[in-house]
Amino acid sequence: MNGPGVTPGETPGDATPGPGGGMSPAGPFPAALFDGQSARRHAVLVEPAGEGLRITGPGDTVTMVAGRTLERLPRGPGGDRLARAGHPGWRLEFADGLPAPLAACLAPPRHYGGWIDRIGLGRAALVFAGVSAALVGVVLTAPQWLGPLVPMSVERRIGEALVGDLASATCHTPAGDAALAKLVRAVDLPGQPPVRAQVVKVGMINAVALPGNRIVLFSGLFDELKDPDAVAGVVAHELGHARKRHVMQALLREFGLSLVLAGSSGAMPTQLARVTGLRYSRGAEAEADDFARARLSAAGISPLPTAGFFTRAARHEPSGPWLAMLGSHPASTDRAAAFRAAARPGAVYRPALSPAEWQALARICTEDRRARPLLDF
Amino acid sequence: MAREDSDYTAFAFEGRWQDYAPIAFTNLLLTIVTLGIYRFWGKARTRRYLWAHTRFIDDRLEWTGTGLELFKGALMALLVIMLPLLGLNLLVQALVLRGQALLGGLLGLVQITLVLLLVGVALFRSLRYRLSRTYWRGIRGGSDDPGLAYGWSYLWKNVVGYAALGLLLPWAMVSLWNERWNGMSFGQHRFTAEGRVAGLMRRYLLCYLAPFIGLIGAVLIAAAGFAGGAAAGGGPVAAGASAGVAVLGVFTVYLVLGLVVMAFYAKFFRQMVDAMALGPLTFRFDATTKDWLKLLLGDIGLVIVTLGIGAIFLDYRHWRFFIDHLEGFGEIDLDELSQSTTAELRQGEGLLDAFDMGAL
Repeated sequence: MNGPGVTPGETPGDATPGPGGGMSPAGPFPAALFDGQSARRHAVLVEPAGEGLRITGPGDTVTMVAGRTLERLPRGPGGDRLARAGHPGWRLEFADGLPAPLAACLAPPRHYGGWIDRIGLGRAALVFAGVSAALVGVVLTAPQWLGPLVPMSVERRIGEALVGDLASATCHTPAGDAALAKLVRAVDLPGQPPVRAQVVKVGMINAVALPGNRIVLFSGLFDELKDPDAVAGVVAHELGHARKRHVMQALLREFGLSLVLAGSSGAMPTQLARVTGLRYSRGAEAEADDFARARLSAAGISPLPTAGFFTRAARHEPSGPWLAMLGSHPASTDRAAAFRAAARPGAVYRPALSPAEWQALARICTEDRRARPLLDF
Repeated sequence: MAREDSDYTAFAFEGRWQDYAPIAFTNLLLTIVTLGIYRFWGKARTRRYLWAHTRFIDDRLEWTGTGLELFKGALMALLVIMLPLLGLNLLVQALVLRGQALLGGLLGLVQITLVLLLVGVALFRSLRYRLSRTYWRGIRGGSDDPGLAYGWSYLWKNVVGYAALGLLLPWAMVSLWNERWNGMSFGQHRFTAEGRVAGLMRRYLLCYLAPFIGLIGAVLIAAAGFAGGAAAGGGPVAAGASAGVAVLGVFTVYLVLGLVVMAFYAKFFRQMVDAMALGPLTFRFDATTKDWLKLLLGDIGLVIVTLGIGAIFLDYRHWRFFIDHLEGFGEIDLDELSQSTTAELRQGEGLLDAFDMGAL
């Protein structure tokens, strides 16, 4: 079973293999073997045999290794190395490079990963870029058509899970509740499922539409707005978000982007998500403003107080508590102009609420002492 | 194995950045077009290069970890750890919004405890994973400890370290380093780490007091600036000058703070590595504060000059720094060094990856 040209003593234990005696173009070729059992380096001779390699070690021990169980490792400073499946640490090392007759029995080494090596780097990069672009495209557009398909009951449950009912911070007085209900009725679309509106004790000038047809006015709003018509404008704007299903769309977008970008970490994707969310939100804001102007007009409520609100907001724009509300909204001066332009000359407008009703609404959180502030800002 | 000539070193890095560049740039390209998924495979390629170009005594290291196992590890960590933690976070927020602040706060405490515990486990397991994928002459390292005990130690030692006004943090760092390395092995040899706190406290106290010293310095500089401004008889030029001095003062505070933290860490790292042994081998790490500073300034300069692209070479630079300053002593009997019997891990360092923590 001796390999040709091997004599005992030509394969000293721990040494770099010297040129084997009687080497021919077909081998045998000198190599070093680590057996994965000890750190000792064995000098061996290797030659192709059938569909694999014949390895002759010290003491003329012969091992046959099938070519398909061997993997070529990427070339390093110590030459070429072969690893053997099922034998961790087993390495066959060719200091001067893998001889061509042996390389012919083996698959080429991996570089980028099996998949990319098969089709080539350039083509793989194009395929990946195409798939990624399609994926991002789907995720960016899906919320718009997927959002309205989500049943309102599901949306309500999501809202419930995310923010609860805010009961302990919600202000109630019989007259205030009635005034709020009247205001909502006046500017809402007729014949729609009901919207739940509430005033929450928070010192911020803000109002939000929540999942599940809910509108929340922050009590700080009444410190700034001195006119029921302006509150009607704000309520109509939030109603626009609810009726156009913007809330569900925004939820889907946020969720989808974080899912797609989960593979990459670091600050970049979060920034990206925020920027795309912003652009989306500006489109939605404009749509909600259009809705608000149409509903104010239908209810016979003047858009001018709302325009005035935005004009004042524009003055504060660079700083102050306004930022919280305006962060994702279009520029206030443009919005003020749009609302001012919506006023029809000569039209007769009536106030959204009577003075008594307005007092009840504006003072709802001052009078309801049981409501606890939601968060202290 | 030890040789007598003076410039011989047991550990040497023999790579060239020009050879590494094709790997770094193709990794960047593939990472971008796969929305980040390829970075696991990229990391494996980078390590394969760095390990293969690192010589220990007379043979090079070999990295056998794969991108797929890193990917699986990250996926597992996302599903089993990050999603439940995210759910817990939502629950805490929902409770606070419902006015259940106490319950929410308690749950938040549970959450912080869990995170600290998991970070500890992650630190242990990532070291274990790296050793189990590092081969030298066909022999690998590893550990049979799953790392949960280390997770608890990490939790309580850090809590104690901070609770004592931060004064016991060096003790926590040292004892955690020892505990982590004492659980590791290479071949049949166990690592021993017997690092001590003695010798670290002076530099730590400097870190501890640096904010105050820096503040006093800044106030003095600002006062000098104002005095100078007043002496020049006021006016816009003087005002500008004193503003410049104030900016300089703030800058000084940060610089001083960064320097003393670096001085502490450099000493800590040296002292810890110097107290380590593996069977007959002992180690030494000789990077001074100046070396660390040069590494950091080099990193910053490289990233700025290349408009960020240079960041793909940071792994290379850090590995090279580590190997350049690492030294080993002693004799290894190669016939006697036998294969590790520790369990083989199936997944990569997913947990650590999930917490987004670095290698060094």
